[in-house]
Amino acid sequence: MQLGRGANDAELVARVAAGDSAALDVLHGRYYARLYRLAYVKLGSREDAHDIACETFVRAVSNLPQLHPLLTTSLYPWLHTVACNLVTDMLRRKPLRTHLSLDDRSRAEVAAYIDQAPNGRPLPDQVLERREVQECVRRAIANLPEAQGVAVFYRFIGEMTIREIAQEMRKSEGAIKSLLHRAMASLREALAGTPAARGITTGQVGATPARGEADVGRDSVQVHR
Amino acid sequence: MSVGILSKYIDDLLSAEEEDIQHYLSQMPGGREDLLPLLLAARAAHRAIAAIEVDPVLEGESRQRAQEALASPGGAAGLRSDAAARRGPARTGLVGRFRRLAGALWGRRRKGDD
Repeated sequence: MQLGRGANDAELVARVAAGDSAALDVLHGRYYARLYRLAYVKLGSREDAHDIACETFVRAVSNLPQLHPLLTTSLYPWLHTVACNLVTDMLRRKPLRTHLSLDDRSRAEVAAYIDQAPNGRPLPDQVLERREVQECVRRAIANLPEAQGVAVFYRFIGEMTIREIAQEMRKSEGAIKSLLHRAMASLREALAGTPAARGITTGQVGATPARGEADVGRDSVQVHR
Repeated sequence: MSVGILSKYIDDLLSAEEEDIQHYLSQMPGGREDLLPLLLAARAAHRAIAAIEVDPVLEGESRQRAQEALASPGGAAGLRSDAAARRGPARTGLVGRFRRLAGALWGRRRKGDD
């Protein structure tokens, strides 16, 4: 049988468990980037993120024969758990040097970034600043409370549906939506505390940049009262 | 209500079909000031994650390692080989018959020695 990119995870896992290397390639293509991003958000290091993603797949290959009869939906939650355990092990061996919270300098950088981009046109020196903003957002996501963080990772990185997350976390779909709502509030709070961020609620905000760019924003959203 | 609008906005972000933020704000005229920071946070999270670039060379290395793991004794293929090894070689065909016969003769001789 021909393997399509649309083949479901349970089918692919069964085929990998039977030694099908093409099925493994499809699963790898589907999940490597997600695992890499998950690990990168948690660790902030590209090298470590690659190691985690890579090792997750190696472990997956060893465990798929036992896993495949049990798998009914997405493989992502299982890979997510393995990757998170590997991240925990790595942090035990090699604690993060940077303190994962938004310090005053980072907050000032976010403020400066938003202040300097009011008209939708990035300034030349904004490339570096954009990276700083991304780093602030990454840290804020990594520091979300446990359940909120899991929901955000499942939704934004795992690209799982609300229903899938609800099944996985054994909560109602309404509870997951509320959890994501609280997570966004926490995230906003973590990124707040600057004059520019306070200004967001009243008028000028950043960004509707081209897709793929990850800045907090640069276009204007007027809040009509 | 903001829970539902935020959820829809996240759906749209992930499917790259998001409308202008004003579109979502207009659905909650009385609560725009509460909703806007949540939408912006969702947008910031989505863009920060999407901006994490994956190196295709590293991805290729990882794929290679996974394939090696699949073919190795500890991998799925290896696990099947182990199971086959535990069952022992197939004793059909001429070689199998010869081995069976040799084994039987060797066993008889050992018994005779005793």
